Amino acid sequence: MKKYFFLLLICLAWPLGAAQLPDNMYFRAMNDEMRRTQKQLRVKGSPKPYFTAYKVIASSSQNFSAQFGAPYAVREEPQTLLEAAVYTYAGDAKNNSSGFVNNAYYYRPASASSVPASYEGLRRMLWRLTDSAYVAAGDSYEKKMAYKRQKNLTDDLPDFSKSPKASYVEEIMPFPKADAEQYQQLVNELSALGKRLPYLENFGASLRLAQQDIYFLDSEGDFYQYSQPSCALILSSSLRNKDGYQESLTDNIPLECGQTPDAAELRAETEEFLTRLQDIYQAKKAEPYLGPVLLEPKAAGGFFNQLFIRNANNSKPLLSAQAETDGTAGQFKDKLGMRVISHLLDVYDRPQLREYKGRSLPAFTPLDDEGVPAQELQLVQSGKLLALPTVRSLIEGQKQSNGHARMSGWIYPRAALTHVFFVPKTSLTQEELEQKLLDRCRELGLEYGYIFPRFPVINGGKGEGSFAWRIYTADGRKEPVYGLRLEGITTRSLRDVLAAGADEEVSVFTDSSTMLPFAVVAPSVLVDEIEILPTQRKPDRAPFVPLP
Amino acid sequence: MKKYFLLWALVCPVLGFAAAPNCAIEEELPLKLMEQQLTRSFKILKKQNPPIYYLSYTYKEGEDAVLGVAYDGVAVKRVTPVSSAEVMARAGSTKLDNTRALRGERENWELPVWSAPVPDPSDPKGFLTAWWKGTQQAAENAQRDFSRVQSNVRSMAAVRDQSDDFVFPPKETYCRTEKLQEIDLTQYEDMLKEASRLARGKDFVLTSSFSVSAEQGHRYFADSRGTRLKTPYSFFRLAYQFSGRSKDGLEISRDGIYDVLSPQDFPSREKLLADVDKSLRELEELSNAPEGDPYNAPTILKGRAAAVFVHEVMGHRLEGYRLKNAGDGQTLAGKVGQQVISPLITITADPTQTQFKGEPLRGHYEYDDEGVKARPVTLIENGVLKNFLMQSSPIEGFPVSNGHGRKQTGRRAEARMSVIRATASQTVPYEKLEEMLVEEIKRQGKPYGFIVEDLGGGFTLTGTGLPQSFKLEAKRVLRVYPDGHKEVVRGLDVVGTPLVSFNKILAAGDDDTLFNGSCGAESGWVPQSNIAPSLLFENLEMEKTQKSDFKPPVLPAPDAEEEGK
Repeated sequence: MKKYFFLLLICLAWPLGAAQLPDNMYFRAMNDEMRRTQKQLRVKGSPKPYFTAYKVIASSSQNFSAQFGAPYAVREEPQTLLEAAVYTYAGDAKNNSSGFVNNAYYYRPASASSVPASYEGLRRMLWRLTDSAYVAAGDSYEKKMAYKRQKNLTDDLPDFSKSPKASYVEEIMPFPKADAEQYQQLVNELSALGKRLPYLENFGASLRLAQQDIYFLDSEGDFYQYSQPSCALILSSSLRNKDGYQESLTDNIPLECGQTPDAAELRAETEEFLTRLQDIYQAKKAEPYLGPVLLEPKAAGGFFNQLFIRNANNSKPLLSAQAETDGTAGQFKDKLGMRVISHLLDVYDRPQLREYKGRSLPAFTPLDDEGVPAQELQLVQSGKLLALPTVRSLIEGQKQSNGHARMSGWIYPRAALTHVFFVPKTSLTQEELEQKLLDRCRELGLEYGYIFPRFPVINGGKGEGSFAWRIYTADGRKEPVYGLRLEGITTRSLRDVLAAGADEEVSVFTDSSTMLPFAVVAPSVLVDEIEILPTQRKPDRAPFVPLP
Repeated sequence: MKKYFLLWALVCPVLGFAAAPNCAIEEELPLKLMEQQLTRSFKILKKQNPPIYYLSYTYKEGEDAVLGVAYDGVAVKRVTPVSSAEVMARAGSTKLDNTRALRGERENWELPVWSAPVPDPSDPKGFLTAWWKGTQQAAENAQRDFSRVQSNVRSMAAVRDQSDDFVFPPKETYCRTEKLQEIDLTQYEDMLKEASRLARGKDFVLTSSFSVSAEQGHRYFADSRGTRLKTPYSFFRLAYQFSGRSKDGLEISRDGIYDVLSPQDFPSREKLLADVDKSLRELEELSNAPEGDPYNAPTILKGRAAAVFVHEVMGHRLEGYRLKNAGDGQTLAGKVGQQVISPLITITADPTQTQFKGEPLRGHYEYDDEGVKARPVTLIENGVLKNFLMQSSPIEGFPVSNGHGRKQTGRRAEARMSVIRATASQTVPYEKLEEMLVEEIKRQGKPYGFIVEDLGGGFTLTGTGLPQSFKLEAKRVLRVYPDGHKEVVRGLDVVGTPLVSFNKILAAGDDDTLFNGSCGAESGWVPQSNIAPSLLFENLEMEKTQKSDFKPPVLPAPDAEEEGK
């Protein structure tokens, strides 16, 4: 899987026609339909298609699952699914249909899944999707112009900025078929380890091997082709803790695709997971707390994802006749030059990295989904916001896109980050961080502080965490705690980072509304103040019948 | 011997083969484990307050396979193992339990059933734990819903039908196993691709799809009354569909479906190609056809269309549970023994039938989803209402199930159709039926009548909040003129009300036709079979069908353009 052949790297300012389209079914179908679209697709009285892009993804996967030692939903043969997404901007460079929500709920390209895997099948699907996209774009254009007139919006920023023609091609390697018997046996064995804890109500192990082959072509002649492998062991379990609360835990352990997993290593990971389940079972319920919290790297990843990345994305708000403001636009759009995070941190986005410290990254982007080469960005320097991800539709003070337009079947291209690195100016060891946490607790007269291995999902400043460690100032002893309700978590907390570790880890996320993957690389961080209250959930009754 | 042979020849094409038990239920591992958990749980659950007075477990183990092809390419090819568990718990008593429909608030259709995929029983720990978890959740839900039902009954007006909510199904033991048939999806790829190429260059075809699917396996059932069942199931289907859109936005389509007993019985390449070619010609004809106008005129519902009509318009009203649902129109309540439709027609339901003229019946089963043995039922005899389709929830005058409690996995069983057959006491050859149609058009002085060759989906309203009417999409309609000439028209739906339209049947053909399908209703999607002869109606009303808002694509299909069409 590591065997990538870089046939052509980004070719900036190449003369037209210098880069050759790969000779395969996908590009033949996309190019033939694109030519026809450019030449012939018109509706009398409607604006012509100004810019059209095709994205085709061939996803292959193979899964092996087991629960408590027995196969579960076995699927031995690799599955392949072909998806296609098409968008068209109608109008011209100054004013076009992009950036306007025509439908009350959706800002989506025309897309289809289960596309027939043949030139003819793909071509026909692109034909139908292009037609839908063009009709929708024409409608959006008229409504957008009417809305701008109604609201007297007269900015001079173009809707579509120029970018040199670019391409990226690497050879697509076939999805390797795994040895079904060996892999199934391995997950059976791993899941059987769960039998040891008698209170587990479920314990499952799944090996998921996947590869996405991605093909893109736009009407400016930009194109790309590459593969994105992703392989993981997923452990999942549920239990009722000793106080009767239902708790569940899932862990996603990345694997090196194309290599036989190391069974001993996976057994060790599973054992560690079981230890965490034991802690969850024995944990004490949280009590009210206001004070410093140490976020371990995965928790820091969650913290930065929800407070930083969400607010840095979608830097240009969408217009909509249905709503005055775009609720999806990030809060940082008006904060360039301001301090948005602790001065101890620099933040970068590195879209062209494929892996980091042996861990493959999920959002490799040679060109973005508007055909612009994706640039590395320094987003933050010493806490100050320097830049935001942008697209071809410009924002104030920006001359061209920095190549961060990302699309899926669920979202038109919008500004989104890829692999976001939070880099501390100075870093402490784990012991030093814990000591700093305890010192700060003592300073505040607190009996204990908290260490979070994961950060909960935050909604409206609130979140419900299922597990953390309480660390006592008196003797440094740690005890597990469950039922943590977090309150008042806002972007303010980003500025409360007091210290950071040297133990950075990669956390991978998928945006639930766009289904776009991205990664956060962050070390442990000490946050000065987080408010924790006991959960308001009610415990479940004891089961009628004891577990078998 | 000769006598037997004759009987065989006459009966077999309709009734198919009777299956016999061929395994020992006590040796079936999944059932042994299910029984172990069920017995252990029920002993405790029946002592709770409110008590769980009935518990049943259903386990499905098998394999689903699907191959989808279009335009010379594979769109989907998947073999998925099936291993799913379902727990049904009843709290309260047979007189009043958690399944009673709530009135004045959201229904509790899906709540009493817990269902989820479960691990293979080869290692009992995971299998037993899944049942344990399911039982706990189903029992908790049943108790909670029973409280809601008790409160609802106290606060709402009394219902007319005061029947109990449940009657215990008789204890049954049955074990039949069948070897799963090998299905190599790859071997159909070339045939489907070749057929898909027939649509190439046809500008009137917007989409096309071809598929081969197989669902096969075994269903295990155990309940707290001691019933233990293992029965096989298998459905094999080859299907295709073409759709198009006329300039005025009307969606048109043609399809072909072949249900077979074994993959070896799928149509030959030659037959498939010939049928596809015919469907394409019909689609082209439809795309160029004039739009029909709303009109009430003498009409023949031909073969498959008649089978769909019987199912939608009368079949759903024969589902017994609707008679004790206060929100239902109860079209046939209190009419047992009365003439409700044309005396020409008899309607039966017989899930024990396996084949019809060599074609498998998807509506066949040996035991229903409540573990009750399937049996034939005469519902309407010569127009007189005799019986209803019954599950284990009695209605006034019908205290026990007749083996029609059916459901989709995860839903609660309700009385549903199985193999529904309409027969006529007098029949004529189809050609004669067309002659009678022309005579009737002339007699009524109408400018034309209709032959509906194909009815697609549609709906029939049975609730009291809306008219007791039906609207069925006529996918292929011919206008028949008094001089006998015919013209294809498009854009019409058959509409009406059940009692009026079923009393307008004048004659029936001798061309009994099977339509296999799946029907979706309150208890989910269930496979069904419908058999009926062509029916001549004194008149049926046609109205305009709903159109899409969209024009056909601006550019012609790429392959059509390349062929210069």
